[in-house]
Amino acid sequence: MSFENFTRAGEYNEFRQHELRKRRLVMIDGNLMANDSTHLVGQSARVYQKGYWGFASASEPAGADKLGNTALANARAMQLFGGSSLSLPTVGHQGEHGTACQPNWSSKELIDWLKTVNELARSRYDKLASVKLVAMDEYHDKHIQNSAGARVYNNISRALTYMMLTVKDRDDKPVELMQIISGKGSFGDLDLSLSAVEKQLDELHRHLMDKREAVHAQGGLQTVVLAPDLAGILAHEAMGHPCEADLVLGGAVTGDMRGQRIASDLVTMVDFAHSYNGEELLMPVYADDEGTPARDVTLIKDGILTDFMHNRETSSRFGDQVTGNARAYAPDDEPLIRMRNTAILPGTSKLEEMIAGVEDGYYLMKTGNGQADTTTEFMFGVNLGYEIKNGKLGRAIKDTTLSGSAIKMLQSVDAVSSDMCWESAGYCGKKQPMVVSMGGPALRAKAQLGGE
Amino acid sequence: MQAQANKILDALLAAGFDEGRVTIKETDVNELNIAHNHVSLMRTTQSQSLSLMAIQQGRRVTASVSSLDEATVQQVITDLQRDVTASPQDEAYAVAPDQQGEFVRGPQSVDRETIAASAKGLLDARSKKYPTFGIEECAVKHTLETTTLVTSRDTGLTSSLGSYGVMIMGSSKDHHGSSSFTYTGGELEALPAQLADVLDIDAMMANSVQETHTEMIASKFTGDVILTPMAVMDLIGWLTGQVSDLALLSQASVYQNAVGDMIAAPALTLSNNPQGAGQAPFDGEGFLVRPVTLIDAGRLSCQLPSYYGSRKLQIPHVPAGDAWRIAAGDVSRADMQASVKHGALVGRLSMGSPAPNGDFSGVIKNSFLLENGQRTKALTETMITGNVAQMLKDILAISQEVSDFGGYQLPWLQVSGLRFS
Repeated sequence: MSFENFTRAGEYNEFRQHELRKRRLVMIDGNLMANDSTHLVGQSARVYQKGYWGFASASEPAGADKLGNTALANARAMQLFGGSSLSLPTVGHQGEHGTACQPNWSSKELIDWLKTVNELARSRYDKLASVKLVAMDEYHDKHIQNSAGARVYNNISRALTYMMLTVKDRDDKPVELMQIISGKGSFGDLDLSLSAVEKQLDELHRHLMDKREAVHAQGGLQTVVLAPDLAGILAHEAMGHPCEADLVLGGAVTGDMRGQRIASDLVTMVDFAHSYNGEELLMPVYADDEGTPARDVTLIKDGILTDFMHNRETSSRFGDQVTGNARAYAPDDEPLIRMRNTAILPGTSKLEEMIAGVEDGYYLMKTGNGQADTTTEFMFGVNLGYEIKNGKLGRAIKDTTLSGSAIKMLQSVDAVSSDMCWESAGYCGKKQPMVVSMGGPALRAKAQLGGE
Repeated sequence: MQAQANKILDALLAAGFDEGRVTIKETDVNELNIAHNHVSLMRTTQSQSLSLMAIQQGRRVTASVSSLDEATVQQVITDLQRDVTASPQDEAYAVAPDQQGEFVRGPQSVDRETIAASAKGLLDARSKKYPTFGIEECAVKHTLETTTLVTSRDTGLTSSLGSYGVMIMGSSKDHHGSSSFTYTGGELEALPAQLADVLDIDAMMANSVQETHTEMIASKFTGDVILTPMAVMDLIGWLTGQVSDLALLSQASVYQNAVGDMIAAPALTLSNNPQGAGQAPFDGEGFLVRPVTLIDAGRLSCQLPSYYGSRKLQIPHVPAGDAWRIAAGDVSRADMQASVKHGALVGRLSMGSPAPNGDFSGVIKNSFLLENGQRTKALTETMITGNVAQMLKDILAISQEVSDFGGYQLPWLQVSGLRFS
């Protein structure tokens, strides 16, 4: 793929050539369940004409002219609905941005690693009911051109492994826990050495044995300390999605709250474009899939709701600066407003002191999936947590769910640790999947916990 | 396509593989999008894919590409030859044998004018009947998917499957505040004159506009829930996951050895729905989808392993597809609601995956408190806790009315014993 001669159909026109390569290997108890590779290539054009968008894509090379004209015809076909045009931003980025990866692992190397980890877990721990291992990687190469003069090459890549151990409890029911190793680049960029894996598995197994004896959490409003691993998903689900401008236009309560206090003054939250503290982040976006230069968006500053994330159209509608949040996942997807690297910024407290300051509450350590809402009422699953009694960690708790109004929860934050933990695993879902990263420190707050 | 698939299969076997499966798929989509109560985007996408599965000396490998040109195909086969040597040997690997059929189902060409008219009708209905409901996102589309699948064991299947699809998501906003987002959608053989009349779209908007003023429950209690169809889908998703490969092969299913056992209330019968709109006549492994009753009057009839899973575990292979229907019950929705002393009508469950043993806690969204048979206030920040396997056993009633989502056909379910907090 490379840049092409570019048509200029419509008031605004963009053309994307997109290559997506993925692998997925799944091993359960030494049996290789999946050994898949996928290679998608496609071209797409999107045209804005008199208030409407037209989009066309093909997996066979069709060229900018043909796809651009089809997209224009699609935009024109909707003129029967009336409407008026909007003046879109004219900024266009030029540049080439990619992740410098270490040499990737072959499928043979990955399968050998999966076998070794399976045998390691089996030989190291008694009474395991099951060992599930997954290795996945993906590479996105995009060439983007548009009528605003953008000419961008973006490459984003990610590799990750899931290691899940299952045991049976006293009632012979399965109890499981998962550890993820993930990062930017290829498997060659991850520390998958046996010594590193052994250390992580030992920690995982220790928590799993605790969880085997776990008790139900007390349902209702509770004081919780979120480990740094969880603050990122709080940032993403609770206030990230409600600050996406398309959700704001769709009725999210944040639409009427810019400039208002929505969180404790200890809380500052940012969707970073590509770097934090001078270091490139896990999902670096220098220019988005509309060819817009990407900049950091401060969503909450010292507790005050400040900015929203935009694509070209919503930045015009709101009269805001462009932010570069328009991203498309697959070759036949149009760009949507998506987060990039969303985080709550660290404070000054120490995690140990935050736990020591809780008389009766919970320390929540690992999460599964989460979900946001227009009301800012969020939820995410909690797969590992412990009671806190009189400032000390107690018994493990069974799987539960943390939820509540993000605004109420963030307003209750009374301590933010000095840690900063980033991760990129799983996908954000919003019509299309998307690779994102999230980060944060430990937080202490009040929220609803599911339970007895 | 079939000739091309057979030619690629021959190339696989000539490259030294013992068995092979070749799938060629072409997909044309015409989709109209609504955003924020306005038509916003028309999409036309054309895609193709070639998927290969190959077995050599008991080792298996798979790959998919989006190009069918000769150089790409040759490169994929070369890559498969390289990668298959790393795969462990497993006698359970196999390709589908002796499956034959040619199928043409659903609308084979798109009617873009009808798509536009449906979208306009939906927008008009919203603005007239539910002006405080905002359509955040809606897609009305036609999909034509042409598939050819051949294997080295005399399987040759083709299908041309057309369907219309609708997905709508939105929320309401008025002087009280904003509601939670809500959604519905499904597949249709044809677009109706009024889109709001199908897929529970009108009911979704009617409920949403009443959800802007919400309250928390006063105190914890144990009570009944009435699950509306979108929440029932979560229940079915958990159940089918428990009787599929991942749970069965890792010995982590609560239904590992439960075929023949009563796992649900006798009122529940759950069958697949292979004739539903948009449903493929054969699965990705190359097996014809047959009618299956998974739960027959509360009793688990079978499990749903893949062909590999069935050979590995030596249990029957049951190709069932992805669409399910629950047989109608004998209680009207109104009577069901009137019978609840203390509980909630639940539109949507927002929760993480239940624990492997079925324990879950989730936030109930688009939900209303039920007190002494009356629907009273819309709820916020309310969670329910229970066990999904136990919920199936605790089904008290199934509604006479069944909502049709194309593939899924689901009634309301009344379940007792959930803890509210």
